[in-house]
Amino acid sequence: MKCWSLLIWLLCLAQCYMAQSHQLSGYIQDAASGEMLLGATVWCASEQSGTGTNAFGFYSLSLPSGKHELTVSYIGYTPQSFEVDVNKDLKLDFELSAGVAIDEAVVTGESFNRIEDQVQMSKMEIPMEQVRRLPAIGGEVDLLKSLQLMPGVQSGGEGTSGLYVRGGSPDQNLIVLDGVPLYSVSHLFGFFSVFNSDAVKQMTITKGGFPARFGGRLSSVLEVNMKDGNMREVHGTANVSVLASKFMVEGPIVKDKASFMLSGRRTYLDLLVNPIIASVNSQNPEIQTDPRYFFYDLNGKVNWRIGTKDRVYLSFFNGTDDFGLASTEKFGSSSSSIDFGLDWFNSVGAARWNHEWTPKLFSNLTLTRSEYAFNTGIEFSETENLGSDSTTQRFASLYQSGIIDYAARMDFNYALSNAHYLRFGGNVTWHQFNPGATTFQAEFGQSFPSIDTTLGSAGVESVEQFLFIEDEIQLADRFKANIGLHGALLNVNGASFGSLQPRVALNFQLRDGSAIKASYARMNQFVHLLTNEGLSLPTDLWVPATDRVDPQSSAQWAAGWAKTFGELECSVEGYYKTMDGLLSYKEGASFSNTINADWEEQVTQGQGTAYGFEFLLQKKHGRTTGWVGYTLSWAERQFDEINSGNWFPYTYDRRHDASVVLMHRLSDRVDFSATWVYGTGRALTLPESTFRAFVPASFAGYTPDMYGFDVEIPSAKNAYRTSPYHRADVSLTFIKEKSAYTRSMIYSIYNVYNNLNPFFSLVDENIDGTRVIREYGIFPIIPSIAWRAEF
Amino acid sequence: MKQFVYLILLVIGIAGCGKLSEGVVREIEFPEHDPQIALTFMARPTADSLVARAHSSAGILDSIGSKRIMEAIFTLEHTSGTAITWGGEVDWIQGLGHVLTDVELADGQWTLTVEAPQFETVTATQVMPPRIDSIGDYSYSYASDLANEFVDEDEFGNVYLSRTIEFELTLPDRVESNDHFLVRAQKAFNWEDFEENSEFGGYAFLNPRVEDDPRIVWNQLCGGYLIEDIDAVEALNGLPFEIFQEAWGPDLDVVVSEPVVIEICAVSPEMAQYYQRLDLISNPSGGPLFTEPVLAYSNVSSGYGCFGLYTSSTLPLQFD
Repeated sequence: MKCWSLLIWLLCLAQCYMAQSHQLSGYIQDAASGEMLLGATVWCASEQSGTGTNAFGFYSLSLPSGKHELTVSYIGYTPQSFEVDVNKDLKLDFELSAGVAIDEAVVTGESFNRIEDQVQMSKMEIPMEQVRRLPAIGGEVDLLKSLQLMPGVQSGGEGTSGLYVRGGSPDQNLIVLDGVPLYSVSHLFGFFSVFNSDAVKQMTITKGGFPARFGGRLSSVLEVNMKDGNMREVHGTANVSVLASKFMVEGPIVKDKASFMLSGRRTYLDLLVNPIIASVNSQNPEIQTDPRYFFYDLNGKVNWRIGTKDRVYLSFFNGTDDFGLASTEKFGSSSSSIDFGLDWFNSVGAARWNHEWTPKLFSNLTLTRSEYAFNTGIEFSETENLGSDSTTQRFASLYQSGIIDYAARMDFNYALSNAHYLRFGGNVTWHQFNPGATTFQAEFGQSFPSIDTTLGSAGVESVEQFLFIEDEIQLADRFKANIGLHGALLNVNGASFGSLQPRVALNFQLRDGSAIKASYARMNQFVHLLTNEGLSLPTDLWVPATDRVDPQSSAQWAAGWAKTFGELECSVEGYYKTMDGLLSYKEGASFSNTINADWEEQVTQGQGTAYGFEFLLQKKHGRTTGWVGYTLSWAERQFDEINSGNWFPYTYDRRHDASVVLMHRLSDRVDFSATWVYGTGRALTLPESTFRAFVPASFAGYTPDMYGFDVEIPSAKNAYRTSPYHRADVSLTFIKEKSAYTRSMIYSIYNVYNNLNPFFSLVDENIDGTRVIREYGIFPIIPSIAWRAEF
Repeated sequence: MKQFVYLILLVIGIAGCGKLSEGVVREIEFPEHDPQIALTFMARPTADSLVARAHSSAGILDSIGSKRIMEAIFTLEHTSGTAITWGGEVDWIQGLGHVLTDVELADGQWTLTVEAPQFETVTATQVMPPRIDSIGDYSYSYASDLANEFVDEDEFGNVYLSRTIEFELTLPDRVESNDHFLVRAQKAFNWEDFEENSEFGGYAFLNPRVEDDPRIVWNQLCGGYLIEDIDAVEALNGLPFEIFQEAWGPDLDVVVSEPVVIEICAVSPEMAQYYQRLDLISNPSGGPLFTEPVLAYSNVSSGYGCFGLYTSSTLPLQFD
């Protein structure tokens, strides 16, 4: 009822403006492919007003009657001017051509979408063209690793793709692929993300000042949009690197009406190793060993324009990692075997329907299903053949955990006037958590009964709902704001958690053209990731807030300054964030405790603070592009049941974090890129001292003996630091035009000066008995080569 | 420009290959450790002998590790003024430690002081828990039932007995305090018993029959269950256990009459916390890399070891 009242109020308000102006609306798209351009701008100089396209390329601008010159622009595209005679509501679609203006400044002072013009702060975007040019380990470009080069976004361990944003944990990042939240975004134990860069159109990350349309996570929102598919011609890419091969193909189904995009990637270490293993196995047929590891992912999307006002998108993503080791040993007529397996997968499906109700009102309905599952199991079997009798003993255990979400979301964009741009909508998600269950099976031959039992935590179902409304307001000539409210509700196990989350972002433009920005955002999160801080593993458990475990919440204040100097965007931001309801394993607990016990017994909740300062100088276009980023930050946590209740540095508390990224087009045929990163060492707990402890052999006088044993006493939580992290990567790409395609050879070197970046530390003993603490790195200098073709 | 880039690549590549020979391991500096007295003394009110141990703590990089302090002098002082002193080389018994004989400790608060040359003197204070017994003000009660019994004999005439016993234990409840208990089978499974080749042998396992009772926590070091009276309302009534006993030997009568001895102790909260945390450190559930680190607990002023007081009672369960 409240929703309808709100809608009626909005429509009445709209009437006040209708008589005074006409509405210009439509889509902005790529001239060659018909691909929608997200965040492209339309600027009317005479009215000094403009607007940007939404996540579906749709814009709506109110203009008074008369002739107006409009400038339409987008990063990496040649801006175009159009004269429009506005005497009624008009529907105008614009097309821009890509890449023509790469040698010159594309964005002009009138472009509207400069960093100082945007109300939203703490939002960053790396154009996909630049992401694909960055040096990459094994030649495998990774989206999340490219984001780690931005200020305020830190990496976890060496080579891993986890994101730690402004002192937050990886579970506090809302990662949405075409509007669908993903739970696990890593392959190969976190070393690669699941995103195939060839299939992605755009990627933006928001670290603070969250608009009300976002919710459900505390620290960041990473929006990844897949390509819609070329509406006019069939195009594609193929990429072969030392680790994996991938492809992407897109094209029209019905020209300018419907298109598709399909991409896939698979590693082939197993395919390369299998012949070698087979050769080794053939030398000793009694013992057969069969290791395996691969990951693959598959993205697909179909979009269909139904008339001028409707558009339907169907998309899916499927990614799987499979790791295992099987071994069989024969002795005489008997045999034994062991089979260990560990796999995890993500599966996402989404259907979206866009509808333009009026030139001012645009809606998007999204229906999604998302599943993440983790399975690990081991099976031993022994078969004894005695004459005609055969006895088999078998023991198997299988651990399964995961989460399945079904969600429906409705978003409305309403261009009330050029001074008010409203977004409102709601979402319902049905979560099905499986926080870990282990099935044990045992067979002891025909004479004994077999065992088949399941232990572990029971599944949990919850329903999460939210409503939001936000208004982007032009308060005065040089003063803009985005004010919103996000209301969320969770029902789980008969308990309800509700929260009202106000969001405010302000932008005040100074007379010198720069802007001062400030924001406040309160966020709530109803899911937790139970993880060991040392390593991010697929064993990490997604668990819900329950009647015994509170949701997480945060409040973040941020303030900053931004200005564009010619082609250079410069921003400085400071932030302060408090977090409550953080979840951690209790001291001494680990994933293995959850295998056969209630996970809620193994956890404790606490609070955290994070504050810091970020600087970014970025050049997004031209022959030379790149950025310089620096972060000075602090992140601390406190749990009553950890570290004696004292505050301690968060594992990824990194005082200094700097990155320099340079991309330069040496010629039309040669492209060069280089990155350098530096970060303060990771906080860690180390064994600090040792003593001999004793336990009475009997507590009742049976014997006065005491058992003695040496105990290593750990330091206070995260009292030590690893050595600083720093690394430089370079890449050279040679491009050659062939008759049917463009071929690129990409030569890259990871960690060019071979710095040992610590992955873990251990107390070791030398041969002579002396003890040392050693840091172990895993990636020395790694040269790689990749082949790429585009047609 | 192109040549310049190639030159840079060549230089850093050569520099990197040079460093490659250093491998992917690096030793790091660690602060010096100041050795302290690490004390272990677990005492009950009455005993023929009790053992105290004083060792030096050591830095983690100290390859020699923790060393015994034979010169340590222990002084145990009651609030009433009664004091007992022992230690030094006189009371040192090889293989045991500093032995205090004919122990009679009164109820109330005791302070233990340990002095040793070249070490800072350490102290620890404890209050004697109530004396637990099967009768009296602070008593436990139990019920036991032989669930099944299986006797087998091998070709050499050795008898093997296995029993499953259902055992229910009610521990004393003091409304105003959260008491701690240790319950264990006196003769636990030990591989060394098999290696000794003794004629008679046996062991017993004690297992709770209720999973996930947060009050009952297995302690590997103590070989028993640390039980805490967490809930002031819900007393420790009728805690269900199952005892599995195995015994063997050449004489059936002797084997069958072998009792299962249960040790029931009321332990001080400090002693319970010490062994609970020590157990978590020594036996990490997910291995050292994947377990949330545990801070050690100590009630000794140096931060190492524990002075604990407990009272105990033995409960023999016999099924002839």
